[in-house]
This record gives sequence, C-alpha cells and structure tokens, in this order.
Amino acid sequence: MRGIISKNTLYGLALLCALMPYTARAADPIGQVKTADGPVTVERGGASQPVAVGDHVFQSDVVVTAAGGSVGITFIDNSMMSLGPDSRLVLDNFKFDTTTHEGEFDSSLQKGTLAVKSGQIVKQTPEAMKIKTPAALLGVRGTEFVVRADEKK
Amino acid sequence: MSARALSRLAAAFGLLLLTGCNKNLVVVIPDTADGHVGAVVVESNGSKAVLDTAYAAATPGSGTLKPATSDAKEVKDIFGTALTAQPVAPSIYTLYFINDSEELTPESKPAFEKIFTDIQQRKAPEIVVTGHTDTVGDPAYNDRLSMDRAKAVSKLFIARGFPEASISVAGRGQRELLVQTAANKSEARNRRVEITVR
Repeated sequence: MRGIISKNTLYGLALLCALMPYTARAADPIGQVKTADGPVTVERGGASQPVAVGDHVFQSDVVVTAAGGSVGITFIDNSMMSLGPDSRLVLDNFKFDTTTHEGEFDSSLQKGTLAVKSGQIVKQTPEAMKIKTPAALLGVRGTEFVVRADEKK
Repeated sequence: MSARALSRLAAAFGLLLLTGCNKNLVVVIPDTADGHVGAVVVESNGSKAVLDTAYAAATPGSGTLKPATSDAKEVKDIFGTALTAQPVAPSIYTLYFINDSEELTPESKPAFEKIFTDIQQRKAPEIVVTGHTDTVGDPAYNDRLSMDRAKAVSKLFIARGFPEASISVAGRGQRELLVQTAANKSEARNRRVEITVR
C-alpha cells in the first residue's frame, strides 16, 4: 500500500457522496425564523444570542422564549413550529433529503407551549418526526397539534 | 365555614382533581389551512395513546394515559400566543413550460406573477423550486433532469431581483406524479415545476 488513503477508500467516499447528493449537512440551516415577538434567544455553541425574523436555525440549536416572548420557525421540509412564552425547545436532530423527502426530525420541548404543523418528512414517513417532553414522547403522523410541557414532568 | 366558602373550596378541589398539578397537555387540532385532522401518538409511563380526532387530548405524566377531550376555547386560552406566532403557511404554485423550453405556457404566466405578489406579503420570504418529470426515461436520469429544470427556473427569479441566497432547488424526478401513468409514458401535466413560497 503506497498511501495512507487507499484508492478503494477514495472510490468508497466518491460513491458515498454520489449517493447522497442533496442531503443537508450539519452546518446547513434547517429552518428560518418567520415571526418573533418579545424576548427570544437561541443558544448555539454555548453562547446565547437574540433572535430576529429572517435568522436561520441549525441542528442542536436551543430556542428559548422568556415571559412575553414568542417565535415561529418554518423548517426546510415545510414543517412549522411556534413557541409561546417561557418555553424552551431543543432542535436535537434534523435530516432531510429534498429528492426523496426521507428524513428525521427529533426535538425536545423542555418547558412551555408549542404549536406544530408537520411537513414533508412526516408526509413521506409517518412518525419520523418525534417530540420529547419531560413526561412523554410524541410520534407525529400529521399535521397539526399543540403541546404544553411541565418542566418538572 | 360558610356554605359559600365551602362551595368555593369544592370547586377549587374539583379543578385540582381535573388537572392535578400537571400542566402537561397534548391536543390534536384541525389543520388551520384545510380543517384536516391528523394524528399524534403519545407514549408516557409505558402506556400509549393515539390521538386522531379533533381536540383529542392527553395529559401525560399522571399515570397511565387516559382518553381526554379539549376544545377550541381551552386551546386558545393555553396556546393562543404560540398559535398566533405560527408562520404564514407555505404556498405552492405549479408552472408549465412550452415544449421543455424555458418559456412559460400562457396559462402559467399569471401564476408566475402571483408568486411575486405572495413574496411581498411575507417576512423573510424564501423560494424553493422543485422539478418533476413524467415517467419517460429511467428514474436516475429523471432525478437529474428535474434538478436541471429547477436550476434553470430558479434563474428566472434571480433575474427578477429575488436574492439568490433565499432560493433553493430540488429535483423530485418521477416520484410525485400529478397524473398517475404507466412507466415510459409521456405526460405533459407531469413535466412541471413547483414553486414553494414560504
């Protein structure tokens, strides 16, 4: 073997890339803030920053509203989530293939109120969207519902 | 203790029994766009409930899940702010082109203009251009063809001044036929581009 990376590895990587041409990468935005009112912040990489309409959201973001705050997000599969005041939502895992519409959307409502309208991920694969709360696990078959989570369970 | 105070205490205790100290609540609501009622599966404490009727509800965290029903008023009282914060739902426009050219059919021209009116009414608008093909050719070829068409159409929006950063493209190939056909069937209604404004 001449190099550290063999020819076969390179072929394998090339094939892998060819097989998933349009799948969102971890650094790609997964949604965009469409409404924001009052105190709304996002926690990303250990820092907390205020949120405004037009901002993008990413996997692993934590969206937080304080008293009097609310925010609405449209995701790239057309699903929508909006938070009422005193709420905390973690966008744990988001995968979406725009060609096949296959994907996964896992989030956690740690406290507060959330309105959800599912999108193309659920249309393609019912229950591929899951929402955890301290007390329950929700599997979404579509399309619209509301959930309130008590921090204490 | 007066009878009135007693009745007040009883009412308060009744309310407490109903809700406990538990604020957890899940309610399926009719789709704000078309009234369609979907379903949510709730799992809690090893029990499972399928909510699939309008205002079907669950209060997880209080032992085994029991069927419950909410109503429009309760949903508005508790979730009013969250529901008001919902984004404007995405709109989808279908465009057709003359003989696979980049020229819109006469019927599609008003739809194309309507997209720009829609964009102006949204905050932070985005456009997704999605190409679709008929069943002529193999599926992998059609994936590429639909993507190429979507990219070509996205240029029409860039040319009209819509910011490129807010446009994305997708190719669905022959996965989402508007008119169901056999394989290798030429069908103009399936050769289309959908524009999602959101």
